[in-house]
Amino acid sequence: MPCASVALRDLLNQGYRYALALCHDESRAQDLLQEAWLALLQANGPQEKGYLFRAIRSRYLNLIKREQLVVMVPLEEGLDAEDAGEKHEWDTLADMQELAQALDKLRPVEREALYLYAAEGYTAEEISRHMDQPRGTVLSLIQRARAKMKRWLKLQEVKHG
Amino acid sequence: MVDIDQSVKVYYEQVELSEAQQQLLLAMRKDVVGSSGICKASLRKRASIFSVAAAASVMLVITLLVFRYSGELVISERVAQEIAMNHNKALAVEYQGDNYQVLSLDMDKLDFNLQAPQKIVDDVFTVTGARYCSIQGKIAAQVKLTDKKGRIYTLYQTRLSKEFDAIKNSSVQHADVRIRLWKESAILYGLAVENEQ
Repeated sequence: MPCASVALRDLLNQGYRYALALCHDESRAQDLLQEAWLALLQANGPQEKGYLFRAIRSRYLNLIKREQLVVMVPLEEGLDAEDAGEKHEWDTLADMQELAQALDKLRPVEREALYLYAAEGYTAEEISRHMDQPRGTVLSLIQRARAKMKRWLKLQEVKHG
Repeated sequence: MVDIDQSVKVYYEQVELSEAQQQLLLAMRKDVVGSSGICKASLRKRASIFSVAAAASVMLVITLLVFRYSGELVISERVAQEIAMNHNKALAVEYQGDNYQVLSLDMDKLDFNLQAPQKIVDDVFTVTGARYCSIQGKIAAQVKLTDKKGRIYTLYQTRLSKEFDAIKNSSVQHADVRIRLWKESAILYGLAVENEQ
């Protein structure tokens, strides 16, 4: 397989993962990626992650407006803005199925922020620019997402003994 | 304790598009951008600078004819591939209804009225419901039908737009799915069914 093709496939998979982080629905994520990819190609835009992510995001926001899926309410700033990057003592990985369910409990904005931070390795500053939200809000989103998931996973642990 | 960040990273790392989906997206790129990596629209602009020479004009005409023919094939193939993929997903209907009028009332996000195509004989198929989908980025409806033997068909409808100009009434085979494409009163239709074993 040529290198260019491998790079493109990587890019498409990254786009798919990001779309999935936004909508948490495989079928919708595929549609979002396809629409964004087509728009990017037709606009002769750079085939780069940043542009693809932006195209996916704007289509997701349009989808929300069209279908009123969820309300992207602005979050109050606050919480401890500095500790999104803190190291935790947690050291094990969650069960994938439980993790999928825990991710489903998050609001799309929380999932998006956590995905960009944890999976894509973006800094809070970069996420803030990408999501067009203040840095403090981004950090709050990440913190809340972690806390919600942790709570939910703990609950499952108690349920299943 | 669970490391949330690492778990999230691992979770998303194991998610991948299927080979068919990757092929479809790469084919879209090839069609729009071409193998050179430069958008075909840009190439056309550049070509026009040199088109003053008569010989070049002749070549251009030939090239455009070839391009038009291959473009026709590519768009039909792409739409068929996308329809086959949607058909194979076998997603549940979002709206229940046994006729197009009822479904059309429910599906108010469509930019056209869902209608019974003339090519499909009503007493052969039973409508069971529909859901939203997209074809080449355009909003579309996927209507689920069953025939008298109980075979499941999916019918796609989307408003005709410039992109679909080159599509001719045709029948396309994609993997195990047979797709019939046709146009009727400003709507592009696609009917998909799995081949009989």
